[in-house]
Amino acid sequence: MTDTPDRPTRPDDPSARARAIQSLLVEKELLTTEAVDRIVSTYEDDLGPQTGARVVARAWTDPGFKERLLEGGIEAIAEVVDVPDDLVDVEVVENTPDVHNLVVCTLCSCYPWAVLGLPPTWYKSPEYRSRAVREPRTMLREQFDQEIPAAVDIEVWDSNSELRYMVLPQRPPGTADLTEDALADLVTRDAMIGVERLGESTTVEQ
Amino acid sequence: MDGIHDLGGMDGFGPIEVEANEPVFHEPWEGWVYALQVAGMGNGVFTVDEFRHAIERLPPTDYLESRYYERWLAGVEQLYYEKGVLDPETVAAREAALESGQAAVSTDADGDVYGEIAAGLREAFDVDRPDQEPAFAAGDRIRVRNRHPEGHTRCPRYARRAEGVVEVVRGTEAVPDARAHGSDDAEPVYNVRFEAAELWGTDAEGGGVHLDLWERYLEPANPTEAQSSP
Repeated sequence: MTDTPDRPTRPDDPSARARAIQSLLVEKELLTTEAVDRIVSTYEDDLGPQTGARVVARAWTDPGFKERLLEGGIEAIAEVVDVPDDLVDVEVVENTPDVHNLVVCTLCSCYPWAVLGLPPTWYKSPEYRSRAVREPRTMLREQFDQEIPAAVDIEVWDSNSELRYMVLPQRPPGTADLTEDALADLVTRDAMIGVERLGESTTVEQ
Repeated sequence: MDGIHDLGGMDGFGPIEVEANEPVFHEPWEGWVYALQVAGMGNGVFTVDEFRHAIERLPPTDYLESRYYERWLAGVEQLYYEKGVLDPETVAAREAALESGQAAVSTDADGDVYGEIAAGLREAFDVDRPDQEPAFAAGDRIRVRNRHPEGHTRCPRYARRAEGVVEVVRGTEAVPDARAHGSDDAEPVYNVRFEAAELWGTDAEGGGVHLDLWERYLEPANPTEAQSSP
């Protein structure tokens, strides 16, 4: 099963190889150039972390929604944003003063693309995938400049099924007066992966 | 298979390189490769599990040396060959013809190919199956079986032989180990939490690791050990 006669040769120019395959699939009516453009545009223009940020901001301002979000995942998300809820399920895991959550896919590159768009290259790299699951605290300190307090437990979510994980960060202190839109602007992609920790109440400046 | 893709817990890869303001696709061909993969799943040529397994089957050196979408291209190309949709000679000939200007990519758009792909994709990602009676319940202590299947699996090496606690019974889903090889077996799936120290030893950093595991990966934690405690 690992030995096949037609193992493709590694192309010198992946662009030319991809173009040739595309061209043949179009002739077989399995693809059109228009479909390629629409698929690319979906990921470049429509999906992205702004979607997840709006969900987080709603959870920060509406306790009833937050409860539904933590229980219901993609169904609750679909209340706030337009997501392909028939394609993917998302489980939202909540950061608290005692717990920090971190998302990884050690086996490939699974990521909550419906709410965050496609993952950055580092998320898909052997460097991140190997370390995140074993030494998350050291990795966050050394690589992402995040010192997670020793009293805070780190829970790692290895996304090895079709269920995808997203972190609900803590609401930063001093944001009581902000609108939901302004709150969404504070939510970063990295905070929803868990390589950034928002809202450490212990660092409130008075 | 115990391949190079199963990276959790390995050492030696060096620092994580974070690219500021990274584009979704670095070059147009990366987007095309994405579309070739979506078309394969949407047209029912291959499942996502077959796709992942095609990438896992890359020679380990190729896996590590290739950029992310080069791995995708290799996986997609392999599957279009194995499924009999394309063959290497035709692809090589077309590559040359496009290069020399003797062929062009058709922009014909008869029918609703995009709509068909989108509908097929919904089916491809629907892994929920009719409920089966779960063997384990939330709170049960389990041990991950020491399995090393030759084919595809979503049970990472680092979890094997480790004990953990079932936190959530997720429901019944298609089993990747089967679906990567043309079968649609289904089983209950469990979210299991492992103490970091159980996985990584006494030098572990604390906290826990969660995995979603299919029933065939699991067995009850050692019952004799439980009985021996006073």
